[in-house]
Amino acid sequence: MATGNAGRRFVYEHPAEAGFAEHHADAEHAPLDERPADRFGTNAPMTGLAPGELTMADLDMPHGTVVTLREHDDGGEHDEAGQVVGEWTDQFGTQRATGFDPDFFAEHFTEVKE
Amino acid sequence: MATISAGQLMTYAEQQALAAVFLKTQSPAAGTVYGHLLTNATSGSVDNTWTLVSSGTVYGASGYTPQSVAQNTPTVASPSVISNSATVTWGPTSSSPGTTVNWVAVGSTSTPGTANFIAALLLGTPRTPVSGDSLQAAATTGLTCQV
Repeated sequence: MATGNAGRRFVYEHPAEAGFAEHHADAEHAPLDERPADRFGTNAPMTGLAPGELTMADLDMPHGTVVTLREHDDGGEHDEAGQVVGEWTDQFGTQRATGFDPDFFAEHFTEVKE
Repeated sequence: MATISAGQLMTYAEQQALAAVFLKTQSPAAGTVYGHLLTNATSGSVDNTWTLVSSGTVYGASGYTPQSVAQNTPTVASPSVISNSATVTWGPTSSSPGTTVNWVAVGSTSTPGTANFIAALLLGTPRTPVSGDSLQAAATTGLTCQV
């Protein structure tokens, strides 16, 4: 269903000011700041980072992040998995895209009015 | 099935490249390519004749979505190598499907069902993300492809 939402901007707001990953991290695994975030290479082992230099907490999408909705091939609002996809820039300047469950998106994102 | 094991251009892309450099057809217009994560086994499970990324088994965690990948200019060497010009980061994920990511499929769009399968790149170290994780490919050395 084409909705014309692509390009609209929304801000992520969490009631406890938790990041997106922090919100979804489960207790079965180590806390985000104890999970190493080494970078992989293809066709050969490669990290590019010293052990422990970066953790998953550093790669989280923090409270207050502004996302721009991605344009999908079919012009629809969701990707093939039924997610709302928002594009954003992390603290290192890396362009990211993350998929959000529509109910989570409706609850935690507010449109940015120009 | 003709499979690839080390990461290379798919047959679709080889045909595109040869047709372009031998001036048989005009190259596709400049655009953006996307990195899709696949969970296919590391050997014997990626067929180089596949034309769409959706022929592979696309990683299924919530939060995951394909990332755009900017490219460096191919190296002046034989074989010439093209690589990603910046760090590429997938996620954070918001579920833990328990499946292992072994491949990055380079596709012509962000939608697996319509993305032409350009290249299949094998991760040096497989990854099994859990909820809250992100996956990173290092700049220049992370996503390399040679003819």
